[in-house]
Amino acid sequence: MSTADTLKRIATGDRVAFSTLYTDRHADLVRYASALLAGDSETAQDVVDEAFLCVWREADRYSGAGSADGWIRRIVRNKAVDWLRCRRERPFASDAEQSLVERMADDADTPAAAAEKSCAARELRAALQRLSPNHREVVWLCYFEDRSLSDIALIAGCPENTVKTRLFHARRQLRSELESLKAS
Amino acid sequence: MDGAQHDADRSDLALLLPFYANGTLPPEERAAVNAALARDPELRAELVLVREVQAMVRGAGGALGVAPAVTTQRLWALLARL
Repeated sequence: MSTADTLKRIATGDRVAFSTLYTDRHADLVRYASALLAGDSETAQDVVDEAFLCVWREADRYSGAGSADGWIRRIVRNKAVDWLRCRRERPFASDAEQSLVERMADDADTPAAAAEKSCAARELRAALQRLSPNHREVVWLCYFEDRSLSDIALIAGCPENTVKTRLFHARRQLRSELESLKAS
Repeated sequence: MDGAQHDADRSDLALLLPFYANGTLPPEERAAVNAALARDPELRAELVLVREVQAMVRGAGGALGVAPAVTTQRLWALLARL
């Protein structure tokens, strides 16, 4: 059954369809939300759950125009953006954010043979985390999920030209990070 | 083609390179990028950078986009909120 058909069933109050959609799509959507949230997978799970509640309430609003997957991702994205806005209003890191920092620190304790590689991977991950959420989102969707320009524009809710320029500026920023890594 | 037009075309095509690299560019645009790559070393250099970024994201991005296994408990908790 297509995602669009599943949404139609959910709109009628079908909990089995809802559970199926949740089970099938949870991992992908948490990965996407986690990328938006700079690797905070615990918050990403909460964000995705909130998005699924929204899908349950608003499935009848999906008009059938555009991809159903893109429609769901828009909801996840909006929930993630809401969370990021709230975070800006509180100065201290959450437990999840602190946990992320600790996990990154733990990575440094790997055996010596892997230390250099681990360090480079950590630096690369940090470089991705330093991108703005808007830039990180398009980078993730394009380079990790291999999504098309039109798909990304739909999910991000912006014109295709904006997607292209965000990717361009993100590339410039990542290039300078890569050059710093190569030089060190 | 004058220099300014050439630069503008290159800029337009450079913006498409991420989608050339991920294989989602429509055939017509893909052909245009292929033709430009064949004659433009700067565009080829830009594609090398795009592929470096692609490899970087695929390598490091796996750790960025972590997805814990879905738990039945979590689904039940969500169903209870419907």
